[in-house]
Amino acid sequence: MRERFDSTHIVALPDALDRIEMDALDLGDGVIPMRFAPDELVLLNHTGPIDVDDSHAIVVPDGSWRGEWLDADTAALFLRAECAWSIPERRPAFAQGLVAGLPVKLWFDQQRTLIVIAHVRADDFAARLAPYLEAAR
Amino acid sequence: MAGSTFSYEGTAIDAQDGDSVLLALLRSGRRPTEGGPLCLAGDCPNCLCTADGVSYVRACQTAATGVTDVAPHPTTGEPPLPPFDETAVDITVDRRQADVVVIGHGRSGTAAAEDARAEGRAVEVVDAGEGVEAIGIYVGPHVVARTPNGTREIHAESVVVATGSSEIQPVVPGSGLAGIYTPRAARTVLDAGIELGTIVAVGDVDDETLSAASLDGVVAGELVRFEPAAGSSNVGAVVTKTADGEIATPCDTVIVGLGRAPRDMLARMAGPGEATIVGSAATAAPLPQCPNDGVVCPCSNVTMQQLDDVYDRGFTHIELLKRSTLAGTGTCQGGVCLPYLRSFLADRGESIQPAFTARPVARQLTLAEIGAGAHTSTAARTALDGLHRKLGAQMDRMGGWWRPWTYGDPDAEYAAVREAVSLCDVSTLGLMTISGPDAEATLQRLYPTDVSTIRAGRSRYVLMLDERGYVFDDGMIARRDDGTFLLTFTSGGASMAEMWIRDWSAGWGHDIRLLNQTFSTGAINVTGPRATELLTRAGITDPPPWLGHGKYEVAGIPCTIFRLSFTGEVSYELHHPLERSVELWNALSELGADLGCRPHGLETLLRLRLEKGHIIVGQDTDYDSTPRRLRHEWAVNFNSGEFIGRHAVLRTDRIPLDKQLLGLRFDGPPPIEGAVIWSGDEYAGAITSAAWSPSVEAGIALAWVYEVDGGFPTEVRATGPDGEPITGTVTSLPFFDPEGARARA
Amino acid sequence: MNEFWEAKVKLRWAELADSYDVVVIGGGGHGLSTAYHLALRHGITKVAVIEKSYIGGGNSGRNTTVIRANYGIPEAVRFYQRSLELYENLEAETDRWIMHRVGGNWWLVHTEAGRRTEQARAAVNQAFGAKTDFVEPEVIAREIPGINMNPLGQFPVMGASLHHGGATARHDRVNWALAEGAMRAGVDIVQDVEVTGINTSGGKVVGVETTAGPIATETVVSAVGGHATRMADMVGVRLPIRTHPLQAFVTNHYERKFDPIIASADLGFYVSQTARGEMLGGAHIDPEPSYSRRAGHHFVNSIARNMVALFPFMSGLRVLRQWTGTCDMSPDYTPVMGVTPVNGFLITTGWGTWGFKAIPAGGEAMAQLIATGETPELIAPFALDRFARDRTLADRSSSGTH
Repeated sequence: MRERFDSTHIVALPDALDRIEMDALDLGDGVIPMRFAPDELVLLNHTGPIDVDDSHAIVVPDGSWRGEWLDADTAALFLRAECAWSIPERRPAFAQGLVAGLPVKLWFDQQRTLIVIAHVRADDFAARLAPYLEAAR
Repeated sequence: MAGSTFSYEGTAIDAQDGDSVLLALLRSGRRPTEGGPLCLAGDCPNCLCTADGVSYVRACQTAATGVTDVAPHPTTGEPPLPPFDETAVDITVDRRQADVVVIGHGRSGTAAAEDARAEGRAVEVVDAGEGVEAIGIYVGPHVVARTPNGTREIHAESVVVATGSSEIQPVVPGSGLAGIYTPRAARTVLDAGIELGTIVAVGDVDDETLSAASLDGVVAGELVRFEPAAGSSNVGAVVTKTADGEIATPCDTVIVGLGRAPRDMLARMAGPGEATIVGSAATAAPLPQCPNDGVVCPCSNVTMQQLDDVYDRGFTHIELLKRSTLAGTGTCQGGVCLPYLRSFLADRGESIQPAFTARPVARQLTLAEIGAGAHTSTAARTALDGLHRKLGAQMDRMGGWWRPWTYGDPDAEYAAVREAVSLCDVSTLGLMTISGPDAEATLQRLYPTDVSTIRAGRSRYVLMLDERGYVFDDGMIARRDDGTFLLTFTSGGASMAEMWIRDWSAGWGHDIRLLNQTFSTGAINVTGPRATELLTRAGITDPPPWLGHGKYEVAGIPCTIFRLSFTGEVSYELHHPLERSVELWNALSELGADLGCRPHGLETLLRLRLEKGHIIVGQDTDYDSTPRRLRHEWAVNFNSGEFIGRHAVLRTDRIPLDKQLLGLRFDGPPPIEGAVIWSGDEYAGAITSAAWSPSVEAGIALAWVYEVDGGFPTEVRATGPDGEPITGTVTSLPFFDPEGARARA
Repeated sequence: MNEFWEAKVKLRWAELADSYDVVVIGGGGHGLSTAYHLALRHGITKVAVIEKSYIGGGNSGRNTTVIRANYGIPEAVRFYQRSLELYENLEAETDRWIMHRVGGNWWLVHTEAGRRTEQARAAVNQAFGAKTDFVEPEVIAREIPGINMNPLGQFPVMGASLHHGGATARHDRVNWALAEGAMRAGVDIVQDVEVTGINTSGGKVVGVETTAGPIATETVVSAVGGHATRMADMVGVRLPIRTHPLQAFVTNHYERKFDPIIASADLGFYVSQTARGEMLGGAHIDPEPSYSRRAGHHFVNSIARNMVALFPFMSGLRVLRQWTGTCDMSPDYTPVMGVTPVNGFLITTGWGTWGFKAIPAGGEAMAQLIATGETPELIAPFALDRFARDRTLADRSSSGTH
């Protein structure tokens, strides 16, 4: 999990988050919307203020995510062995669940897969991912 | 010609392409077991061997390629355990998803797969004959299979079981002799070109098999027994009964056709609606005739006499029959004996009983194989984890986190807190932000305190009670200037607390926003008489007052600082973005170096807080800890309206008090934590926390002290750390600095 | 011929009579033991045991056969120690082979907190008559064959409580020995009969309805497992019980060479080698309540991995069979025994993961209660009304692995 991400973590009314999520890709280069729950959204690679249409929204900078971009083959190899659930077919797509026994967030763009995990689990996850990176090399 | 070789009892065995271990052995005139009729289909236990150190492997189901060392199954007794110094093997998992899993690639399986594909459904087919043995259908459905180089797990919408039928094995005297084959098995052996000597056939044997064996027909009559060849475990003759009496037909090999039984174990294992069963696996077969004699269960070596015997002694239920004889509990899980057990009971006039429950695993696999792909849950690591390890800390798992237990010198760590300044990684504390129109209303009902009186910039210690009025967590509530609240919880308590808050607030219909920041925020406690000085050096000249909090920048890092105290000294909890934890820690360490600043671990923290009489939920509390028993009534405000546990606390407060958590003081080292205490000869409770206190120069402890003879003892007896009797005196808390002057300094 | 077939027990099944002094619902270990002790200790033989399937077919025949008294609170230590001692004498008393074998329970710890808990266990065990010591890692490394002292690099073995009296016995044999003893003394035991109702009059039990007809009786003991709450509901008694599945598995049979009974709460499993040579592994209860007896994959998958991590030599042992039992869990992890607000309706439930080890003492105490009308001191703390009286018996740390 070589990369650490800055992000903006938002808890707000679902409608307000829907709007942000929809336009997220316009928020700037490399911003990735990760919708954890109807009322929770993390904008990866986003910093600075953001307009949320909910006066009670909780908006905090969050630099606690780490991740690794995998090419399609490595991702397939890894997920085939370590993920027990169906990954979405559309692209781009966000998914979350247990992979290699740990809770991760997955972002699938056209070619690559980003695996994101909380810093507190990242070292252990990296150790579980390492053999697959090795095999792909 | 290509082929492979494996070693068998010191001899190299050549296998031809496509050979199973069993075929290769039969070619060389050997067999892995002493005798036994063979099915060559994995249904009977009569070709077990030990392959590359793994016992109970069916030689007929194991490809000869890839096996290097084969040993026979012991003729008596059980295979040995592997040597205790044997190392584990690593197995990989191939995970797949499909709409349909078809188990069995025979005629009906192939048809089922084609039909499903024609409907555009994704199909996975597994077949033992192709090296992929399904071992179970689990909830899902989720099919797990053993493959030549690992395991395969397939999550599917539905499963088609097309496992065909097994051939019924003979149960007559001598059925354990070698040279007896079912028709299907005989054909396989003959096709492989293996010499079988003089062959005869009995029973219902199909023409194809007869012609493969160059036989014109079967021996007349009904099978009675097999007789051994002189001095051999091989069959020498088959005896049948005809109208004219018994006839013995000499032979080297007997083909016995007794019909088929559906191979439906996997289907019986599936949940309702998960699997459909097709082909001969679905075809009910008539029960075989009840045998009179012979071994009915070759796995557990159970004879018909034993069945008779237990039946006559009242073991009349099929499960009792099984459990009392152990028939059906071996490697074939009833594959051979189950039809006979049922026909036996039918023969005895019992109603025909259903087959006993099918459970995984249908075919066996090693612990390494069935454990493949699993991960053991790990503890979370704070952002300072690597740094602690570099500092030489002994790390320990507690509350779901790795934490420094000690950095090697607990006395120096203790002294730093009491005499200078010290850092402690408290990133493990649960932390949440709650906002929303009903945030305050939610907290008001969650906690037994009047949240409305917590002013902005202030915080308060709070208990969390369950509906029974028992304490299950504690922490702080802090109100921020913007009207939102920060909540803290015990390390490891956050996930439970988050669910608790969400469930209750949803139930109350409250409109809140809740963000759990436990995993995204670091926290460092700066504690000791020189803590304020250290903060000043870090640029904080106006730190928050006692029980206050605010936003600051420390060494350029944004922090929310809480002023509170668990150690009994001036303490500032610096909550900060965890990606900057290392930077903050290093800055503080550097700034505090000449103040005597050094970190302290959990061992020291536990001692420090014990001197202050602070409880640790989970260690000092139990399932039934009411605020009264914990002597924490001060933390419950009944004037704050409804709160969870209120009625239970009011109710239990009217019941006479039976035990309380009290402080004990010992002149010397205290008993171990968990030690039992006595009042005279009466049981008087147990120690929950204990330590030697350098500051009070006494052994100190928290203990559950029971009411004895109508009162609470003021003095208790316990066993000291060296086994000697010692006396503890009930002492008011805290043990150290009772006025709290040091913490508020 | 295998040496483990049951060679002696003779079961004499009865037809149900119209009335009994005592009707025991549930032909599991506790029901049979209650009937056995009523007949043999108190001469009360006009007793029926009604089993809806076959005797010992519930949790009494699905447990992992461990007998131990290493509990964490005095009340439990005393009770289970009594049971452990009764077990030691059960073969002599019944003249039946229950395959009783003392192996010693080792509860491994991998953290400082774990050390605390097990040292505390040893202390309370010693104080109340159970033989348990805390042992340091070097003893474990020396005494436990094939153990990896730092499994997965994250679970260093940091000590253990060693319960010297820990034993195993064959569950079915225990059930049958008690059933046979009770039958011989005149107790009627029936299978495939279900109780469909309990009749009361004026707050007193007057009889039961069964699929084989009504029976008059003034004393009913509910000794059912898994559906205890439904049974009590028939007379309007609410029980604080939730039913959770617990899973286990055995490997094939191997030469008997592994004596200890090992548990690790952190690694979530326990393992012992049975008299027949199977390696028997089990887990914690499933966290979600359910009556399901279906075997799960997640359980065996993770337990097998942890087992191999702790005992690498077990890597190549082959799994034979998985199964599931259902555990009636009380909120305080302690059984619920004795009288209820309904006169004549007695319960023995809340047997969670500790029912098998309690069979002799549980039945003995229930029989004494019925015979004398007085709750024996040994089980008085386990009364149902303890929840209302705020006198619960928290003993969570003793239940997890067994």
